[in-house]
Amino acid sequence: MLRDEGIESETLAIETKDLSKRYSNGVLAVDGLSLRVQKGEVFGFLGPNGAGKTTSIKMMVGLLKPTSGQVLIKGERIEAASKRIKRSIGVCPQDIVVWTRLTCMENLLVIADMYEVPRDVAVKRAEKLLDDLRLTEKRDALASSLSGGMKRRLNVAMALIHDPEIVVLDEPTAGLDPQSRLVVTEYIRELKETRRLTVILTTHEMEIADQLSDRVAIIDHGKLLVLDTPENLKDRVGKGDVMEIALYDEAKNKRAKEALEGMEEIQEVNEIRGKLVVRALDAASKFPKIFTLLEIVGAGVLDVSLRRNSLEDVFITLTGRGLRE
Amino acid sequence: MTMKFVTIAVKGLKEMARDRGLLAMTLLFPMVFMLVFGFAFGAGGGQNRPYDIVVLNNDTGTSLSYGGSEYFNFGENFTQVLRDLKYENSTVPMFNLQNATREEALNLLMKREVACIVTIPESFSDAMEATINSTIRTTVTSLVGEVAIKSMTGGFDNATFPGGGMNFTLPENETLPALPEAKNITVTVMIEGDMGYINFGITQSIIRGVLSSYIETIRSETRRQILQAVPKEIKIGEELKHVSAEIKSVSGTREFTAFDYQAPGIIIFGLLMGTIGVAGALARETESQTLSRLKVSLMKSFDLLFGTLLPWTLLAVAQLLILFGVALTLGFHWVGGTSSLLIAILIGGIAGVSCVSLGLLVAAFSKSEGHAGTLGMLVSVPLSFLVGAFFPLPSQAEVVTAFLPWRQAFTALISVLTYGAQLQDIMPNITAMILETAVLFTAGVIAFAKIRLKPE
Repeated sequence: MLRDEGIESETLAIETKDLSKRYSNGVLAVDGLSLRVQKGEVFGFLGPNGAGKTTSIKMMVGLLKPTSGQVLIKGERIEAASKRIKRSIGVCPQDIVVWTRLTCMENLLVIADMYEVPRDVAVKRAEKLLDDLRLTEKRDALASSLSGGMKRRLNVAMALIHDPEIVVLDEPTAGLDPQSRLVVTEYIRELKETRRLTVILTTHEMEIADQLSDRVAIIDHGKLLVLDTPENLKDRVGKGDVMEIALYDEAKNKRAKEALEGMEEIQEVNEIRGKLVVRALDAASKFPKIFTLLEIVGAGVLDVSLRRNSLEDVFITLTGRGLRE
Repeated sequence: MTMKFVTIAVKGLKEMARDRGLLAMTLLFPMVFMLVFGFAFGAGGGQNRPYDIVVLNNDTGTSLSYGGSEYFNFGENFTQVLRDLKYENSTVPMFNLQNATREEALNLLMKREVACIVTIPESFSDAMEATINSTIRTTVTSLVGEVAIKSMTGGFDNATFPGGGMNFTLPENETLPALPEAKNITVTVMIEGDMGYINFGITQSIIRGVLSSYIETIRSETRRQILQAVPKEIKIGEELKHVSAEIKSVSGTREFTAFDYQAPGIIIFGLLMGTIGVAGALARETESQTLSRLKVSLMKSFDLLFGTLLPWTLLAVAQLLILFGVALTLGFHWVGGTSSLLIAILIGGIAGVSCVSLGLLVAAFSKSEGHAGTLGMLVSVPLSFLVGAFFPLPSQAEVVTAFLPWRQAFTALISVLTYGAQLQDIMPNITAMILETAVLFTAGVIAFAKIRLKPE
């Protein structure tokens, strides 16, 4: 299931070897995680909330000490990383981490100074980042006065001000309004396509991971479930469309599911967040037969939607649960 | 490229300036204490009321060697000056001079019926004459040179006056008399009183000022008479000091509880309040995870801690000056001039570093800004009492608290501002403060770096 054996060590940006973290309260947040992230790829880290994504990321950038295992950045152990290695990583944390009593420009320049970026270069870069992330108008505004979406865009800019080779973006689109979400996803796409940066992108939003990632690792309960390209992962759980059926009476979901599982044309049925998720080839042509069957078991249909197979379906297939559960 | 600790310091200053709540807490809170104590202990009261004093004039007078051997008693003259002194824009005299022998005066002093005893020494007039002669010599020396004076002891006329080439001449047909000798004599005017008595603080500082002004008036009058025709740009040398004032403490009249004692204590309390601010600022970095951003960068522990130290030490010095200003407004009797203020700033700076160090320790054990505020308050308020900032400590406690830099700071501040001590007098306190602060800072740095700056 893990598709990274063929990567040459000289092309490795980050490697984790049997990485585990057990917190003092006994919770095993990450359990034997081994990954190899290639230079220049966008590596999606997908999993539900609490799966261990942020803990893994924190260990990768040296903020958290692993209970066991190793993190290597371009071959160097993170805990003994040189200036060169530290300078090569940019981190955008999951939470909005900005100095609220500093302006956008001041926030960026503080971080630039911390990475020893010459002031003239830093100012130019900051101007460009503010422009790219549509924050130019807020250049001299205090971060506290920004909207949530703007703060998150500033959060992303602060990870990039020192022009790192590896960028770790932890849930960069969490809680964003549609406009900010578009700005951020487009910017990550640009990082991938024009600057060939190594991007580690953690998210629980499968569309983002699907659109942007070259490869996706899905983790749950601290364990790596699967790692491959989004297309391969989707193919692996089966081709076809996905129908989501909401019944008038959720109590009848179980009976309806059993009935649908008996249909030969249907590949898989799951109950996710009160809906029946049905996967079948050319699903639209199966509607009449499905509705008839549901009527026979007395399950009235409230709503039906049809969509293409997604990474969430991969996760559902692997765990029997939805990503947002 | 800006040094990282400078960036952190500038960031801290900007955040501080933009955080009105923090500034109010740090600056206004101690100011309120100062106001409460100032009004409560009546330091500002009593204006425009004559102070009872005794002047014991032992001066025997002198015959002036310059100006026709006229007999003059400068002691009587100075006593009259004190008697005639009035409040500004008022007809109320400043002092009410009581007639008394020394024994009676001491008795009055012990009962606090007089604020102080001023004793004018026997040779006061001789010293004043020496002052005049010294002024004459210095003034003329500045014009013609010491060598010329030494070679011309018989006087000058226009034919021999070496200043003739300097665009001024003696009046026609006049001869400048021989320069008088300035005796090598110094005397001290003694001002006695109880350091703990507020009226003594007020009267002694006024009398010192009046004496300085009296001597300076005589000097300038002497110069004026000699230099009427001399161009202003000619600089006059420094005269020798023949008369000075000395404060003598007569203790034991009452407990030492006045505002003059408390004001330096409240300044220390104000500085200790800075601990809460430092701890809060660092805990906020932890809580908001900006510390994590800094930790993954190239920043070293030194940059963060030194960068934090600078703005907070500056704030401590600013706070000291503000509180001192408020104390003065409320009637704090500042003994000493600019130099004492500079020493006080030095003390405030070191005490500020101590407070930052304590703040580091508090921040190391605080998980949030709120937690740091509570913990900081729990530490700094009892410490203020413990170092005697509000009330005098029992002697046993003083032994223990001598190990706290704020106690040393308090002792040094009160010595400098209230008693007019010089730098050398408080060097033991300053040395102890520096050593204790170094220990505290090391402990703070180790604790904060180990708990907050290492990977979790």
